[in-house]
Order: sequence, then structure tokens, then C-alpha cells
Amino acid sequence: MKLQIVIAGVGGQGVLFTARLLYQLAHQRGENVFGSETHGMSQRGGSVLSHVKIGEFFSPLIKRGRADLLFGLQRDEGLRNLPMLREGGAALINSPSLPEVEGVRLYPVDADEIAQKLGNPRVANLILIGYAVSKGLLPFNEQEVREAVTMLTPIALREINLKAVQMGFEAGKEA
Amino acid sequence: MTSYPGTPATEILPAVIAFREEEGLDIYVEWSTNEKVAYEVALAAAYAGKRAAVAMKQVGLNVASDPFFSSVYTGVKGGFVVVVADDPGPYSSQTEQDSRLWGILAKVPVLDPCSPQEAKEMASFAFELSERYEIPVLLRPTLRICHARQTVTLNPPKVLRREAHFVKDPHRWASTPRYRYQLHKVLNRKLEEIAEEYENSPFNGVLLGRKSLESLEGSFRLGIITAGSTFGTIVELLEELGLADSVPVLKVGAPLPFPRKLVERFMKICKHVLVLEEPDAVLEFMIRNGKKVEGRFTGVVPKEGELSPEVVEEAFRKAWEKAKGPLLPPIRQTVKPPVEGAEKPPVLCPGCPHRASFYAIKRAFPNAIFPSDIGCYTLGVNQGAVDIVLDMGAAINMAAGLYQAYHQDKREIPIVATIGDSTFFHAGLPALVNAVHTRARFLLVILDNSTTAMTGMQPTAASPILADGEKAEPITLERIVKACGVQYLQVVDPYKIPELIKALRNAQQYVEKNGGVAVIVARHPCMEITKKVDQPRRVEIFYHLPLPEREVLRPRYVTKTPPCNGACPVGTDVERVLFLLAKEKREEAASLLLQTNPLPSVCGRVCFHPCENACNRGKYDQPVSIQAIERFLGDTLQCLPKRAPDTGFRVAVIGSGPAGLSCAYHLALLGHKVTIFEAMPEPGGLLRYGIPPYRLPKEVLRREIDRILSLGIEMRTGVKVGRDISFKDLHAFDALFFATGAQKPRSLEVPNERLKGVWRGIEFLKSLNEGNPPVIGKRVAVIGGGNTAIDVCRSLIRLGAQPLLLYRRRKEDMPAHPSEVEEALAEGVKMEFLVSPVEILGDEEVKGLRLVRMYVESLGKDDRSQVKPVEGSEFVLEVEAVVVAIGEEPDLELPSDLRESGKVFFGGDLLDQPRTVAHAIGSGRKGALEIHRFLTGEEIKLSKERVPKEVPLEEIDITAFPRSERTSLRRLSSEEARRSFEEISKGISEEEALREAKERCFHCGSCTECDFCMISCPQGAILKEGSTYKVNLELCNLCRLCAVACPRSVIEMPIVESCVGCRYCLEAFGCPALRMVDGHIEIDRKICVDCGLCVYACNQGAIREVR
Repeated sequence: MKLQIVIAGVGGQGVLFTARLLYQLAHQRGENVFGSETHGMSQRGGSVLSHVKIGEFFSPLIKRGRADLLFGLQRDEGLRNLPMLREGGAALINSPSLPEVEGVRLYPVDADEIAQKLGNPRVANLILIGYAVSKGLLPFNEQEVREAVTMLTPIALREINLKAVQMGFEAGKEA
Repeated sequence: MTSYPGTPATEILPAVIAFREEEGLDIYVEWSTNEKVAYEVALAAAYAGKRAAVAMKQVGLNVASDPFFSSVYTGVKGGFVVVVADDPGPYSSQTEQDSRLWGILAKVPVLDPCSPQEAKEMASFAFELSERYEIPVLLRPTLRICHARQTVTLNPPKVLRREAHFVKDPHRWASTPRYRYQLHKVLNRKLEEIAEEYENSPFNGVLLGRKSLESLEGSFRLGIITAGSTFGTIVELLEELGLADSVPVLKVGAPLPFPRKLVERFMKICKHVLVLEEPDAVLEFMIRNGKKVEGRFTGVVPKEGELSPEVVEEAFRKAWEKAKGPLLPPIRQTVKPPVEGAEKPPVLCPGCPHRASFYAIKRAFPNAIFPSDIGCYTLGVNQGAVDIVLDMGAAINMAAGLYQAYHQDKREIPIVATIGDSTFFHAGLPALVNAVHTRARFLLVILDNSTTAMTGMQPTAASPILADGEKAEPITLERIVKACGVQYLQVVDPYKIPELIKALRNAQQYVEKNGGVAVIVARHPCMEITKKVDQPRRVEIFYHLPLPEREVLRPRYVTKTPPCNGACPVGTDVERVLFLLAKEKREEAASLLLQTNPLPSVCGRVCFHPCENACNRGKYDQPVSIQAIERFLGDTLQCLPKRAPDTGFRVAVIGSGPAGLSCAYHLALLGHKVTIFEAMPEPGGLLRYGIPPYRLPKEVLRREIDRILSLGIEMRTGVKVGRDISFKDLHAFDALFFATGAQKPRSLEVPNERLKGVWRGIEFLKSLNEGNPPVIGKRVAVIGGGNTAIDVCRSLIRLGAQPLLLYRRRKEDMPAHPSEVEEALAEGVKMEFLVSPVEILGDEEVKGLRLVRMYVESLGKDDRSQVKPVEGSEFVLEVEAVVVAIGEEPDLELPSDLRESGKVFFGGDLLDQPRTVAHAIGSGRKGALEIHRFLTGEEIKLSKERVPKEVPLEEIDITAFPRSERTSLRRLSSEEARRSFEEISKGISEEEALREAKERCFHCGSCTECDFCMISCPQGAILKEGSTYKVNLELCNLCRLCAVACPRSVIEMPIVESCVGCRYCLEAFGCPALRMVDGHIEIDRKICVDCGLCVYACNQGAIREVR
């Protein structure tokens, strides 16, 4: 497997957790990973970008125009980082609607609305992951995802996290 | 292992702790108060033979550099690894310094990992190297290595069971400078040997394609020398460009001591060399070859900023072109983003207590200088409340230095330094001690969220737990601050914004008065720890269209009426007099006073001061000493206003009491010719013949009257109208003012009221004040409860009699002024209440008095008691004289032709108004203005540019005023007073009068040019023009802060209670949950945490709490 994924959002949205989930999925498959995160001052509500690379890589950073997949946990951050995608790359962005952009496949997902229904705005990231799996944009299956989420989530949050992922699966199937 | 939190090294210690728990190892771990402390604590363990490490960010080694340098000379026993994380960018630091350079300056071996996996291998090697050479080893990862995730192969931990064993060797561990020379020699030899090792280090090697190039042979157009995470970047780029097999890459992971031979061998096989390293040119510097090397020195690689994959590609293409390499495929075009978005800068979290603190600080001191420090609170810069951020602990030193710089010019400007609790423990202590010791003056706010927040909520010295959760000995912040010598310390919850503003002002007032550093601890937990607010308050933003016109909403400066002005019966502009006095314009103040009141020395003694009773200051601490100031002005300054030119009109004033004198004075000022007719031998009316000298000395009255008469008024004493001149004679005048007062005493209507020894109060006082003290006997009954009765009693005391005041109602019902009553009692006057005379006893002279007791039947309006006699309670008092002082009536009878002439006016006690000197003077002035209008048709307004709206205390911002004691008024003690008729009250000095005016008067509703509106306006829309302020309406955004900021309610701006789109909340408060949508602010409920603090951030009342 060789996959380069970028996760964009603002501090506090769970960008780091989303990256960790992808690492866990890759690790479960015995794949090597390498990637980069943002911590500290830059995080306080500011722009956050995580690079996740699955496969044999030397650098934790994805060059502009090389990412296969982009997760935009926040609309503006997602759109602003579209240049990270390669030709034909795909972007799932947390927004009810998106403008047309040439050269890439855009998937608007109103994850905030679904998260609102679940009662916790912070699970929007998991909904996007679930959606990506259903759309075949991630080379993992539903069971693997559930395992990874269970592995990484403290007991108190497990139920809602699994629900969020499930809602993501379903949203992806419907769309 | 020890550490201090710092991005990107923060996560190292927690990872060690997690690892320790997982593997059940025995590692001592510590979050130290700062990096120098951390370094030395760990180093000591290494001296004692144990393996130790310390981790910090790059600027942390700046703090620890002192022990660092020294320790390289002494060396170590147990392996000692110094992990220093650099931050190319920088993303989270004050510099982009390259910590590999310490290898040159401090002469320490350096290791530079290119990945987390390599970092792990290097750490292990570092300990081993350290122990072989007994030298500290510097391990230098960067941000992209620290904050990276990688699949890493772990080995089982090597468990060393060593016991601490410090071997004494003072030549080494305590070596003096001379012996350091020997240590230096030893050090240099170590470095030479390590350099040899580094030539063959597994961390230094050449990669060509996917294979390592063992034998350095061949000829390559371009070679890369690189290190750190840039290695991975260039390798991936070469693969992408298909050049991996034609461009060799030398990775120098062990850069210092410099493996010169290896590098030179590599350079021999390359025609051109590109050096890619960050954050600075270390390898490039060591190579010192200008000819074939491209890099930062040749401008191919940018000198600042991170070497991102895009920057590396650009640099490589430049170098490839210079090396005349074949054309490369063009840089891939990337997708164009449909949004023109900038990167979102970091902001304080919603609900962050620091936001509240900075908001309060900026409101209290809009124009202060704000030195601040390193932490989450550095983001206070978004609110305009952070001016300087240098390094850890600088805030306090900067404040002290700024103070000294301005103080040298004899200037004091407000300085508010802010520092976090963790930063305070890190470097604030020596700074605070220094500031206190050198007598600097400023405010320090310690922002205590009880954690090291920015780096991820690490514990501080005040925490009850240590790095690994073990029990700590918490240090109390307040005690340490006090121990530094701080005299003024207050702890406030910043969520209580108005309280914090007040505390800040109090602290500043303290510093201005007493000097020193005042400390406020703004304590409230970090939102990242509590996750939600303790007491959620849901808030809404109200917005309704249409908004009123700008012309309606704009700020206006309106001079209003302060309560002292409103209460003065004379109509004196009290506040303006105090304003002029505060500016030390004594003559102008006196002149203004004399424009309305011709008898200031009189009023300054006998007025019952309704101005002081109404004074807003009185509801704060004590009223301003207005009466004493009036007396001071009247006694010391002449300053009569200018007299208008002669009008030719002649006016007669009948009666020279306060009303008559006042009327004559004002008429004379208006240019009329005035003649006063006074029946008594001397002028003054009740001022002379009623009020005894201990309240109003005769010389003072004489002086006042002379001043009045100096306007050219004719005073004819000893002339009673109806006796010495006729009413007909008065027709010769153009207008007449009758102020003959109320002189006819009321009768008791009891038998024997005409006996010898029965006096009327008014007659008694007249006699006394004429200089013929009545011979009256010792036991004297005084009947009545007004000021006359009291004056009679107090005079009797002074004449050696034993007066007994008898009043038919209760003490509290007495019409006399309460202070007069108390003074009388203190002088020894006896009083009986609820008694009423029934009959005066005696044949030719008074022998006694029969009285009946009264009881309160009911309370009428104003709580005045209705009394009735108690049946059968009569009793007799033996007295030698009785003075009846139960009130007087006017007894003026005018002939009808005069009454109907239309040119007769009345004043003073003839009117149905309160019978006070001030009311009399006021009526005299009003009468003069009425007469003037009657004579000339000219209408002169009583008061000038003030609007009638009075300013209550609620509209005064009392936090802007420090507490200030009212001047204590010097007076004779009651013991001294009763012995003579000497004046009791002594007045205040000029200094005291100035202090009252300058420090104590609020100047309610009147602009004092304090400039606070101007310095508060966030738009800079208010400018000063001379002595007034002008609002630039083009800059004004209607935020209404000026109206709120003015401490004395001078600025009028209607509250809209709707968002006006001024953005004040965004700029001064800046919560990310507030955003501008279609010209008005909305709350993003996904972000809002219901802290409710934004209600304080709107001056238009648009943000309100809802249930």
C-alpha cells in the first residue's frame, strides 16, 4: 500500500485523533507509517494540518500536489488545502455544499449536522472517515475501522464514536 | 530524566513516564521549574555515575547554557544526554536557532536524527558515547522529528542497576579557572578522538538510489549534503524526479566534531554540491568551500523558514540548473483553491480566563505599556494588551526597565506587566525581587490558570502532584510573591470582570500613592482542564433593524447638573468653583462664587450645606468639604465681579438681612442704583441680630457687608419704613424689594405670657447681639425646638446660666439642625422632650412654669409626630426666666396702592419657602433678576450651559477614584467653646482646600479634561481641541465605549440594545465564538462554551444573558 493523506482543520477538532486512527488502521494491516502533526501554540484555534503516509516513505511531509486524499474537518481549512491534492485526488470536506473544482473529486459531507444529531459536535471527523470507507476512498473495511476506533477510544466515548463511524458509513452509502 | 515543557520537546518526558510504567522500570522523572534547574538536577545524577538525560526546546538550552558549557569541561561519569529540539519555521518559538552550533561553541559532540527511528538509535548510541568519553552528548531532533509518527522497531530496554556513587575529585568537579585550562586540554583531545569515530559513524553515509554508496568513487554532476528530516524530503524528491540513481546524497547525522575527511571525499566525486539543512547553515559553514557549494550562503536555499518539500524542490531545481543538469519536467501544477483564505492564526480558547483578564486590563488602562511573556496568554496581543514578548520571564524585567527609562525623565506612565504562573516560577522570581528592591513602580498581573497550558497542561511548582502523578509539595504563589517583598497583593477571579477592573484601579492608585510593585493574581482554571464552565450562562446577541440614525446615536459631550449644584438654594455652580480651584485658579474660583453668592464667608459658616448632603462623594466615603471651601474663598479673596454700566434705574431694598443684601448686590452688579433701608442701627438682619458670634463673628459679617456695599450701594440704617420714612416716599423708586423678614414672635397663648422675666427668643438674641447681654438669671426655661431656641440655649450657657430646653415633640422632630442640637447638648444644654407649657407662674416676675407631658398619638406626613397631652401629667418647674422661641411670623402690611403698583417684589422669610440663610440669599438673587427684567425687559438665565439632568451616584464610575479622607474640620472642643463667644469653627487651610477640590470632588457630569475618553476610544476618533473634545464622526463606529468609560457621565450616547456592527467585541474581546455575519455579530454555538463573559464586551447592550 502507498497512500498519502492530509487532514486539515482547526485546533481542537480532532485532527490528531483522525491521524492516529489512520495510523492504527495501517498498523493493523502491518503497514509502515510516517507522518507529521501540529502541537503547541499553533494549535490554539489556529490552522492545523496533519500528514499521514502509509507505506515506505523517508519523509513525514507530503509535498504539495502529492496527496491522494484530503480530509477537511472544517470547510475553509479543507478548501484552502486543496493544492495538497494530486491530479485525480479526492477530498472529503465537512460542509453541506462545495464549489466545483477542476482536477479533483470533491465530496461534501455535512458531518456537523450528523454530529449534531448525535449530540456531540466533536465526532465530525469520525463521520468523515466512515463516509470515506463507504465510498471506497480508504482501503479499509468497516470492521477494521470499528476495531481501530475501539482500540483508541477510552470506554466512556466508545459508544458515541462507534455510532459516529456507523453514521458515516451509512451517509456514504446513501450519497 | 528532567525537563521543562517547550514545543516541540514537551512530549519527551511524558513518553518516558509512559514507557517507564509499561515496562516497570525505575527512572526518576521531573518537571523542573526551568531548564537550567532541569539540567543541573539531571547532571548531578550523571556526576554520581547514573545515566541521566534532560530534554528541552532550543531556547531552553539558552536558559541552561551556563551549566551546559561548564559541564562539558568537567565531563560526566554516568552517560548524560542533552536533548534539544529545534523549531525551523518557527512554528512555536522566538527564534530559528540551530542547536547543532552548540557543538562548536560548547565543544560537545552532536547527533542529528533524520527520523524517529534514527532518533531512537542515536539516543542509545549517545549514552554509550557519553560514557566512553565521559562527556555530555547533544541530541538534536527538530519539530518534524518530534511531532512525527513512524513505525519504529523497539528493543527490550537495557536495565542498568547502578548505585549512586559520587567520587570526590575537586580538581574536576570543583575546578577553579586555572585548572579549567587542564580540563580544556582534556576536552580538546576527546573531541579529536570523537571526530575520528564520526568519520566512520553509521549515522554518516551516502545514499545513491536505494543503496548506500560504500566506496566514494565516480563523478556526479550534483551531490547533496544533508541532515535531519530534510534528508527524507530530498530522497523522496529525487525519486519523484527520477534522479535517485544519479544524485548521491550524503547524510551527516553526526555533524560535530565535523567528519571533515568524509565530507571532502564526498565533495571530490561531485562537480557541484547542494547543502540542504535546517534551520541554519552549519554543515555549509564547516565545509567553507565557496566554489562548488550551493546553499544558504549562495542564496539557493532561503536563509529563514522551514525547508518544506516545496522549498526543497525549488532549491534543488536552482542548484540543478546551476549544475547544468538536463531539463526537468516542470513543477506539478496544483489545484487552485476556490477560497482566498489565510492561515487561521491561533486565538485563546472560548472561555479562556486570560481573555477576561486582558479585557479588564485594557479597559482600566487603555494607554499603558504591556510587557508580557511566553505562554497561551501571549495571544493577548490580539486584544491589544500585549506589547512586548521577548523570552521567559522578561515581562517583569521589561516593566522595571521601562519604569526606570521614563522615571529618568521624571515621567510616570502606567505599566501593566502580565506573566503566567508557570512562567513566573520559571524566571519571574529573580525579576520580581530585583524590581521590588530597585523600587520600580508598576502593576504585575500573574495570570494563574494553575497549569502550564500552552504546552499541554503540565504541572507547575504550585501543583499538588509531580510529573508522574506522585505527591508534590505545592508552593503557594501568594506566599512567594509576598516573600519577594511585594506589599500589595490581591487575588481576583478574572471571570468577575468588573471586580478585576476595580482591583486593577485600586492597585494602580496604591502604586501612585505608595510606590512599589503591586501584584494581582488573576486566578481561574484553564478551560482545557475543566472542559466546561462552572456556571454556564447562555447569552444572546440582540439585533434589530432599522437602527436609529447615526446623528441620533453619536456621542455628545453634555455638561450636566451635579447634585451639589442642584441642591444649592443660592444657585451657585459649586462644581465649577471646585474645578477652578482644582486647577489652582483661586481668583477665578472666588469670582465665580461671588457671581451668585455675595455672602460666602457667612454661608461658609452658617449654611446647613444641602450641597454636602447631596454630594455623591458622600455616598462613597465622605462628602467634599464644600462649605469649608466656600468659607476659605470668602475669607481670603476679594475678586468681585465687574459691575455693569449704570442703567439709571433706582431700586429700594427694605431690609438688610441676607435676602435684602443679596438682592441689592445683584441689582448693583446689573448696574442699578440701590438704596437699602434698614430699621436697626446696624445692617445684617438676622445674620447680626439672630446668629450669635460663636457661629458668625461680627467682624466677618462686617467685612462681607462692606464688600457688598463697595459696589456703590447706599445703606441707610436706623430708618424704618412707616416710622422714619413713609410708604409714599418709596414711590420715588423704580422698583421695590421688601425683605423685612419674619420678626413677629408667635405667642405661647398661655396665661402670664407678659410677666417680667419672659423673653421672646428673637428679642433675647437681638439684645445679646447688640452688645447688651440680657440679665436673665440662672435657671432659664427655653421653649421651642428651632435654631433660635438652640442659639438662645447655647448663648445662655456662655452667659453662665443653666438653660433647659423644653420641646413639645420628640428630639428627632426638632426643626433645628441636628448638628446644632448635638453641639448644644455637648456644651451642657439640658433638654426635655414631649413637654408643653400650660401656664407661666409668678406674680410680677416669673417664678416657675407649669408643664404637661405629651405623648405621640400618630405619625403624620414626613414622620412628623402628632402629640397630645397626657391627662393628669402636669408638673411644675422652678425657673427664673422663660424664653419663648416657637417661631416668628412676618408682619409687613403694605398700603394697597403700593401692593398693586406692580413694582413691588418680595424675598427672604416673607416668602413661603424654607427659612434658611441660603434660601434667603437665593431669593434675593431671583428677586434682583425679576426686578431687572421688570425694569429693562432683559431676561437673564439663572444657570448657564448645564442641562438640568442631575447625575446620581450610579452614573459615576467610583472605581476610577481612590478612597480619600475628608479634611477634618478644626473646631474648638465643646469644653472650650462653651466658655466664651469665640468662633467655634476654624476653617481649613489653602492646601486642604486644594486637596479637597483636586482629589475628592468627582466633578459629576462635568468634563475635567481627564482624557480618559480619548485614550479609551479604540478607533482614535476622539481628539482634543483646546479644552474640549471633538469626535471624528467618520472614524466613530458607535461602539459607545467612551460613554461607558467617562467616569463622570459627561458623554451622552443612547444605548441601542442592538448590535451596531462596531466590531468592538471582536477586537477587544476576540472570542472565536463571535463572528460577523451580514454586518452584525452572531454566536457560533458549536464553539461557544456559555462562559457568558461577552456580556461585558458590548457597550450597546446587544449581548445579554438569557434564561
